[in-house]
Amino acid sequence: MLKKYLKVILLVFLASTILVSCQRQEVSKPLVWGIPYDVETLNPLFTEMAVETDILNCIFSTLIKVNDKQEFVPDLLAEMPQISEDGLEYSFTLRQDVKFHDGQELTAEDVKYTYEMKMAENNAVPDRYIWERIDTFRVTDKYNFKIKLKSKDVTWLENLAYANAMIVPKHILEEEFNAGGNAVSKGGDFSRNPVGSGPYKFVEWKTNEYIKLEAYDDYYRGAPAIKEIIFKVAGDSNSLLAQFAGGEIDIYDRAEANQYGELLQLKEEKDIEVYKYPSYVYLHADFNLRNPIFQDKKVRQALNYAFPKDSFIENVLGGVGIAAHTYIPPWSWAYNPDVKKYDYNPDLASELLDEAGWLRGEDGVRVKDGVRLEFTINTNTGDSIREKFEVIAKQEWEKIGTKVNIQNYEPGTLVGDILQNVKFDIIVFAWKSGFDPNAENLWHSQQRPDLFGTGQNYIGFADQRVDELLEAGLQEQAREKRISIYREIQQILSEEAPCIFVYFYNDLTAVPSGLKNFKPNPTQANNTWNIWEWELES
Amino acid sequence: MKKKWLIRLVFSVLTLLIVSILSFMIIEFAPGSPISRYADNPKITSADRERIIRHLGLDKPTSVRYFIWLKNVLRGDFGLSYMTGRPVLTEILARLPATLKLMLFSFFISVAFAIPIGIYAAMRRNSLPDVLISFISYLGISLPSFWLGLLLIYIFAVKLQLLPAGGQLTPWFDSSAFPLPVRPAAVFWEHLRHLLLPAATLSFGNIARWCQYLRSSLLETINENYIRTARAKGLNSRTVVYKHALRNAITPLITVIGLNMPAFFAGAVITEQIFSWPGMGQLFITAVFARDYQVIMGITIITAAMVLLGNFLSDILYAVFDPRVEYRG
Amino acid sequence: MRILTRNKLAFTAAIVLLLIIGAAVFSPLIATHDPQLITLKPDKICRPPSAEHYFGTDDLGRDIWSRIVYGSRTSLVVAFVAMFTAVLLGTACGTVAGYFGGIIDVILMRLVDIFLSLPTVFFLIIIAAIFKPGSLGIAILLGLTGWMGIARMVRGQVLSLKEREFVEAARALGYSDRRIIFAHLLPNVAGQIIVHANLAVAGAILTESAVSFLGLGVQPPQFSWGTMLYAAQDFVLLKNAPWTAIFPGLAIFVTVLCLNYIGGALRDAWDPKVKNSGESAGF
Repeated sequence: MLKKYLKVILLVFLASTILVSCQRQEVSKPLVWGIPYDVETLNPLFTEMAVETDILNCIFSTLIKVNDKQEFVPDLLAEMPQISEDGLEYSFTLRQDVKFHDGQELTAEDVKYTYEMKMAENNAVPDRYIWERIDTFRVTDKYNFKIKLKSKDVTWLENLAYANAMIVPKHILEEEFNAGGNAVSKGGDFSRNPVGSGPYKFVEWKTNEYIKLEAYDDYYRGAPAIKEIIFKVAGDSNSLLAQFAGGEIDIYDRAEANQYGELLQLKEEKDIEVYKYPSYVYLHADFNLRNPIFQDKKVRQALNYAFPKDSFIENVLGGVGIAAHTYIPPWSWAYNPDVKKYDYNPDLASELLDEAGWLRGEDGVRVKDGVRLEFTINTNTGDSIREKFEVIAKQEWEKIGTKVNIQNYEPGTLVGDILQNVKFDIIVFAWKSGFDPNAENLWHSQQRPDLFGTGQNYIGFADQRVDELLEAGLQEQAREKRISIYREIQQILSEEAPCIFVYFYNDLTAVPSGLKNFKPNPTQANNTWNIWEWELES
Repeated sequence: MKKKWLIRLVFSVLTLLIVSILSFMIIEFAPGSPISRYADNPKITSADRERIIRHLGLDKPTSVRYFIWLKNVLRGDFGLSYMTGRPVLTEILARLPATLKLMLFSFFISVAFAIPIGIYAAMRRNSLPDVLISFISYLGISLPSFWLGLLLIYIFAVKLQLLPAGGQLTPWFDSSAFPLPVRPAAVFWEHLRHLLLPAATLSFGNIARWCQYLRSSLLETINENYIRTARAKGLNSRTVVYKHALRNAITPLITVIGLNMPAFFAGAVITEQIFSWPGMGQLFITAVFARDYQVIMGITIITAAMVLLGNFLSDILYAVFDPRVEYRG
Repeated sequence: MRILTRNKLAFTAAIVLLLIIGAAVFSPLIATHDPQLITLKPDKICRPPSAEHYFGTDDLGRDIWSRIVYGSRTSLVVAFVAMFTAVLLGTACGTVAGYFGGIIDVILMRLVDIFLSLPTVFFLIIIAAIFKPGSLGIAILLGLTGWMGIARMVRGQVLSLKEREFVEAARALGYSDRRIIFAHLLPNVAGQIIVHANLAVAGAILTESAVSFLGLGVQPPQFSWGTMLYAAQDFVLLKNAPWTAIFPGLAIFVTVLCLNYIGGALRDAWDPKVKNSGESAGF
C-alpha cells in the first residue's frame, strides 16, 4: 500500500516538473508590483490608505500633480490655476482631450460632481478636509470652473494633488448614487470596478490576491509603454522580500530598513536597481505634557540628550535613516539648519536634571518634591524598530537616574485608546508630514484633542508664539516670508523639546534595472505618480 | 434516540445565542473602536468622526445594536464590513475557498502521514525508529510555523526557485497557453505547486501531534485484554492492530481532529500571512486590528457553528468506531 | 530490536530537565553576561557563537547564552503553570461530564463549546489593556484558554471506558464514584493526558510569545524563549544570523523532548496493563 502511495506521489512530481519547464517558456509576464496587504476600495472618494494611492494613480487623474522634484505640475489642467489677489479664488482650465476609460469626455461637471459627492450627506467619506474649505464652486463652461475658498489657506492647493482628490466620472457614479438612495457606498460597485481617466484601465481584482490593470491606449499623454501591471498582495515584508528575491515580484516598494543590505546583495546577483531616498515620515517619542514630570523643560531636554540618536540610526537601522531635529526634514526648503540639536551627551543630561532639582534617591532614581522620575513608554506591538528604541532608551535613561517601564499595546488599543485618550507618558510612533511645512494639527494649542475634540496635538503642546506663527504661515504666500516663519517655529520646538524627533525614514524601492523613468516621489503622491512614462527594457 | 438529537439541536442553538451575546459584549468592551483608525489622520476632524459614527450606526447603544444585528443575521444578513463597505458574507465567501483548499489539502496530508507513522511508532515502541519519530515530532511541535515557513520559502522559493513563495495562483497564469491534452495537468500543477509549501508548514505540526496521540492510544489498546486474547489465539499481529486496536485507538484522535474543524473555516493566521495565502485568517486579524465589529462577529458566529458541528460529528464518529459507547448528550 | 530502554532514556531526560531547571534557579551564576545589556557597536551586533559569546549575540548586541539562561525562568513558569491549569481543568471537566453523563454532561460540554467559540483574541486584548498581567497571570490565562481540548478528549475516553467490564464490575461491587474515577478510569486515560500535557507545554511556550503581540505577557526588556524566537521572525535575520533563532528554539525543543520521555516512563509506571505486558509488547 505504501509503495503504491509513493509511486503516485513520484508520478505527480515528475509530471509537474515537466510541466514547469514548458510553462516557463510560454508566459509573457506583466510588471508585478508587490503590496503588503489588500486595499479596501478603489473608489477615490473613500480612499485612505497609501497603498491605494499606488494603484489609484494608475487608474485616475488629479487636477494637479506633485512631481519628484516636489513642484506642482498640471495633470488634468491645461495650466496651473490662477489665484486671485486676495488668495481666495482659484480659476481652473481643464485640458480638452481627456476621456474616461469608457470613452466619455471628462469635463468641469465631473470635477464639480466629485466635489458634491465628497460633501454628500448620506455617505461615509472619511475626510472632506479640502472640500469643506470651499465656499462656492462655479462651472463657467465645459472646461472652466472657479473655486472660492471660505478663508485664505496657502496649503490648500497641495491637497488637490493626492488620491482623495481624484476626479470620478459623473455619468457612472450618478447611477449608483440614485440607485443607492442618494448615497455612494464604499463597498459599492464603483469601488470594485473603477472607471477613471488615468493611464491604466481596471481589469480584475481578486480579493487578497492581486489587482490587474492594462494600458489605456487613449490616455491623453499617449499610450503607456508597459502594457500590463499587476499589484500582487504579499502578506508582509518577509514575504515581499522572498517573492522579490524569487522573481515573483518585480517591484518591491517601501522595503524595510533592515532589508537594505539584503537588497544590495541581491543587486549583485540580479538585474535590479535599489533606490534609497529621503522620506517625510519621521519617528518620534512624544512627552505627555499633561504629566507634571514632563512639564519640566529640563527633563525633556535631558531625555533628548541621553538618547544616542546617531548610534541608533547607524547600528539599528543600518544607516537607513537621517537624524531628525525637528518635524521638517533637512531636505525641505523650510528646514532650519540652526535648530538646537541634541547630540548624545549623558553627562549634560545629568547636569540638567541636577539643575532642575531632580536628585538621586537611595535606589538611584531621581526624586523631586516626593515625585520619582519614573515613567512608562508605550508603542505598538509588532514593530521591532520601535521596540528597539524603547529598550535602548530604557538602558540609556536609567543611566541618568530615571526609572523606565515599557508597556506595548496592539495597534488598535494603542491608537484607539492610549493615544486618543492621551493615556501615555511617552508614546513612540511616526508621522508623515506633507511637503508643505504647515503642521497646525500637531502644534497649535487649539488642536489639542482632549480639550477641543479635534487635531493631533496629543502632546498637549501650547505656545502662544507658535500659534501665531502657524496661523501666519497659512496666510503668507511668499516663500521667503514663510521660510522665516517656519524657521522660528522649529527654533521654538527644538528648544522646548516637546518630543524626541528621532529620525526621518529613508524609503527603499527595488525595481528591475531595465525600468526607465522611475522617479521616486516621497510625497503623498507616491512612486506611481508618473507611471505613464515608465518603460521596461529587457 | 430522536429526542436526544433534538435536545442536542436545541442546546446547540442556545449555545450559539450565548456565544453571540458574549462575543458582542467582549468585542464592544475592547479598547479602541472602528473609528480609532482616524486618530492619526490629520485631515479627519471631529465632525467627520461623528458623521462616520452615525453612518455606521455606532451611535446607538450596544443592546439596541445587538438586537438589530441578531434580527439581520436571522435573515441571513451579517451586515457590512466597516473596512470595505461590502457585505460581511461577501468578504467571507471571497476568502473561504482559498482557506478550505489549503486546510483540506493539509488535513489529508496530515492524516495520511500521521496514521501510518503513529501505528508504526506504537508497534515498534521504544525502538530506534520510535525514538526518532518522537524526536522529529517534538521538533515539529517546538518549531513555530513562522520559522518553518520562512525556512521552506528560503530553500524552495529563493535558493532553488522551484516553488512559489506565496499566493495561491500566479496572477498571469493562463491555462489556454497549454495544449489541450496537458491543460488539466497544467492547471492541477499550478494549484499544487502553490499549495505544497504552506500545506507542508501546516501539516508538519499536525502530523507530529496526531501521530503522538495515536501512538499513545494505540499503546493503551494494544495492552487491553481482548487484544491480548486475540493475539493469544494466534492472530497475526498486523491483523490485530488494523482490525481491533486501531478501531478503538482512533477515538481520541477523532476528538483532536474534531477540535480542528473550526480551523477549516477560520484558517491559519501565521501560515497564511507568511505565504500570502488569501484566506480567512488574514481577514480575521485585519478585522481585529481595524475593530471591524461586523466582520469579527460574522466570523465568530460561523466559527462557533463549526465548533458545534465538529463536536457533533466527532460524537457520531465515536459511536461508529466504538460500539460500546451509546450516544449520549 | 530495542536499542534504548525506556528507563535509560527517561533517566537521561530527567537529568537534562533538572539541569534546565537548575539553570533557571541559578541563572546569575550560569549566565556569562548581563542578558539585558545592549551594546550598539558593529563588532558586537549579530556575532556568531564564539568563546566570548557561547551562543552568539543578537541584533542589539546582547549575549544569547545569558538570555537563554535567564529566559528559562519565564518560559518554564509559564509552560508549567499553563499546562497544569489546562490539564487539571480539562481532566476534571471531562471526567465529570463523561462519568456522570446526562444533564451535567450536556451543560459542561456546551460550556466547552462556548469557550471554544468566543473570540479569544479580543478577550486577551481586553485583559492586556485593563489588567496588564505578569507572566504568571499569562500562564493561567493560557491555561484557561487551552483546557477545552483535554476536556473533550478525556470525556470521550471516559465515555468509552465506563462501559467496560472492569468498571461495570467495580460498580457492581458497590465502589464509590470517586474510587472508580481515581482508581479505574483516570489511570486508563493517563497516557492521553500525558501526551496532551507534553504538547501543552510546547504550546504554552510558543503561545506566550504570540500573545505578546496582543500586548500581553512579557514586555520588553523582559524576555523569554518564546519572545526571543519571535524577535527572530525575520527573513533577513534568519538568513544572516540564524543563531538568534536556533538556540531559543533548541531550548524549547530539548525541554519538550525531555518531558515527553519522562512522561512516557511515568505513564508506564502508572498504567498497570502496560507494565505487565511491556516487555512482550514489542511487535
